[in-house]
Amino acid sequence: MEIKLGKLHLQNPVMVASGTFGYGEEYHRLFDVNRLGAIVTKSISLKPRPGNPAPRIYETASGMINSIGLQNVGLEAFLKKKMPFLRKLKGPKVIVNLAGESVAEYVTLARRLEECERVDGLELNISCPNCERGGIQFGVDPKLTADLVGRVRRVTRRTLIAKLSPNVTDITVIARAAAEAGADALSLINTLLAIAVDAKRWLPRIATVTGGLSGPAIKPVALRMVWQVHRVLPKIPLIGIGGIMTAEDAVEFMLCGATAVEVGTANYVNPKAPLEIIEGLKAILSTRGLTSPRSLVGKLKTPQKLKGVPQMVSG
Amino acid sequence: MVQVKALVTTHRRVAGDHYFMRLEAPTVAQRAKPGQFIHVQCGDSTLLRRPFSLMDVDAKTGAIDFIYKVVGLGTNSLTEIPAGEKVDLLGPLGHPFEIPAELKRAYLVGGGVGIPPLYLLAKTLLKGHDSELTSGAASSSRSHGSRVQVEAFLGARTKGWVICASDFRRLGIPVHVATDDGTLGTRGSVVDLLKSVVDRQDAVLYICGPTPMMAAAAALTRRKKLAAQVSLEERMGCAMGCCMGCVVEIAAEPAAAHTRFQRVCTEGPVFPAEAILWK
Repeated sequence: MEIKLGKLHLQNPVMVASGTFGYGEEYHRLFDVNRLGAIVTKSISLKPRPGNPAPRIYETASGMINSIGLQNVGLEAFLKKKMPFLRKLKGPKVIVNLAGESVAEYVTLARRLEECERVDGLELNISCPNCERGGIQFGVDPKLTADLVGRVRRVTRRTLIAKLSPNVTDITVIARAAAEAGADALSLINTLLAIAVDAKRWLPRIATVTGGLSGPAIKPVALRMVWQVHRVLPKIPLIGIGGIMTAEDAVEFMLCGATAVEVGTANYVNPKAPLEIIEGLKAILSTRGLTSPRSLVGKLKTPQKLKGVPQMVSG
Repeated sequence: MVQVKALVTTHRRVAGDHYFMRLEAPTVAQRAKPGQFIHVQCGDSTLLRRPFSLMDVDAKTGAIDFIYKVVGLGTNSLTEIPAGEKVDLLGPLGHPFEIPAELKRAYLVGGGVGIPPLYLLAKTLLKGHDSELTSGAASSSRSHGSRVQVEAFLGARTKGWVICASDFRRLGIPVHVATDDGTLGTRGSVVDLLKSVVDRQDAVLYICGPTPMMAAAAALTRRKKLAAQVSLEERMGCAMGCCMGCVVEIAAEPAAAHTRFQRVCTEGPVFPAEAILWK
């Protein structure tokens, strides 16, 4: 089940998505998180952030909208209070998700974490849709993405992952920019900008009006984007994210080109979902006589030449 | 806290859109404290779980009880799960009601579907709460102390929706009732009933109900300088403190920026009434 992600060897390809799994400790009360491929922490910013007003979440058809606004304890408290638990873990790789308001903030965060031994990788949140200055200003512009990834690349030897936003016209443009600037891997997708409405009271369901849609509702969009990016950039490892609830969902992402997956909203539905996905994936591979999840990556059977469909492939 | 598939042993409509459910969940029954809740998978028509405060637990039989009101897809889907089937739940969760060591008098103030969690609190108070419920010092003084005087103040929209009144009476405590339409007890808000009793400075108020009712009760206890705890409700994602979805804004000047919003699932659902920024 081992896979390679940049410089990292993961014991399996199942990771947990940023913001849905806290700092690992919370879910360790329910199961041994040492069995996960990797834990991606809640986004860390330089200073603590209060987050957005309530209500922050609302369930929609096969999904949910959230607008948390990056509420987090900040870098110093993360290092003091959250890292000790993560440092003790034996199995999973520890990926710290970073959210900055400026390039300088991302660089400072990356520098500080470079001194922190048990941090195996950094995931740059350049895609949070709920903060004016929480990353998405970079993730929708290829030049800013390249500049940010490049500047962080220069200060870290850790595996560097850029987490991409689906809220763009052509995700392959941003993907290419991040890859060429030195990202070791790309994770996609973050949530889709969305609104839910209370028709009786004529009010938005979320205090900030817009929020990010996640869950099974976005899986087809996420699959399409993973497939598009893999076609253009077959060499860079992709981490598929978007409504993965079962092992079969994970297989779908791998067929479209993902090397690994992150489980997000499913953690709320069934906290043990990541474990069930690991076990299910093992079973699916063994049924097919396959030894490694790598055998699935990009194996979607498509016609040699796709005619009459929009390609949206950037030059 | 555990995740279990719990057998539904009783499931029936009690009043209006209110349903009573009894589950077999021994670990939860043994560990739960008044004010804590369970996070329940309500069937296939919704994705997220729904949180319900516990009305009663029986450590001996392993039974846990709660009453819920049908308000949307999740609770509606829950009504379709019959006795004999199992539901997946997480629990017990959250910060329980706090019982001060020297507590002499407790006024339990409940509105609508906020009433049931106060029943478990009433039972616990009358039993003389055990050491688990309080700090060490508190439990020792309690064991020598006198019984807590408990009174219940229950409000609802109409007569049929005043749930649990008979349960409280069976515990032998005075029950005062108010209904919006005056079909039972005093006409008006349950908060109006409190005005006659809030001069007792030794009382602690435990409040659970709709937000406007809790805000009004909190304003009253603040004016009268009475200690009060409220049990809040909010839409929840994980209920384990991870998603930060279920927050409430704190009134007091926070020590750090990231504590301005606190999680109903973890720091709550029970908060000191004065801590909340009521809107």
